[in-house]
Amino acid sequence: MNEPVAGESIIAETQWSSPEFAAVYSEHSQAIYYLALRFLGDSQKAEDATHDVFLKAFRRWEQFRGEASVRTWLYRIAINHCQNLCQSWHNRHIQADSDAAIWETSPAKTDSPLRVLETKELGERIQKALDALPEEYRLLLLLVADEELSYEEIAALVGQSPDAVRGKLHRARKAFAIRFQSTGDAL
Amino acid sequence: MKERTKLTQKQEHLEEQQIQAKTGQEFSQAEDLLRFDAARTPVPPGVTERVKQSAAQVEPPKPRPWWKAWFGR
Repeated sequence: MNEPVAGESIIAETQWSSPEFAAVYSEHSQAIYYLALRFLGDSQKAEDATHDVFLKAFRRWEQFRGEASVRTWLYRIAINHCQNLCQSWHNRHIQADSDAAIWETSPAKTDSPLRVLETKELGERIQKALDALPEEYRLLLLLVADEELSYEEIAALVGQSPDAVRGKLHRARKAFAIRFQSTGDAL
Repeated sequence: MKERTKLTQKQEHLEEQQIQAKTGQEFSQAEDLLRFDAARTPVPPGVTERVKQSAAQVEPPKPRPWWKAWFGR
């Protein structure tokens, strides 16, 4: 299955002990890594978090009851893990309420599209914009970006009603657009 | 084969997006931009190996009963 190809370095690759879980990892790891990366804002921490989340899931796989989708179940583990990390590091970005008020009242150009001229540093700009948002907004935007999740599933993940999610999402989009536009060429 | 086709389509879509990005691109909403960013952010290869190695030290879970696999999504 994993025969070395000519020219490739020969490194003994560990085999999955559970083919079923291997498929789960293969299907969902990118989504979980991306959430961890943009939520925590640090690639090394995101790698560690992805490792820890899947290891937790692997240990609890038999307990997964299938009431939610696997994706939603993994997201729940990942969100709890990332939030615990943020709390333990005491590195939450403090956004005063006054900031939120500015976003909500400013006559922003936020209804206009987000223009991107250069993708080279796009990740950095996105991260800066997300870092400046309250944790709740950041999480909502990241979850909504995953097209596999419905509003109902997102609402269940964040412990709110779908209507509340829609309302907050509107404000989160606006806040993100303002922050993103201030990070670079999107004017 | 089906999986391969799906992957190829994804890759083509990503390449198309990258070409568009070279000439400037607009995203109507924040989540579209994040989706684009997510699609071009792969899991670093070292992570997969670490997960496999750690999982190898844990007793593998029993396969889920057929009815859980059938009804669960």
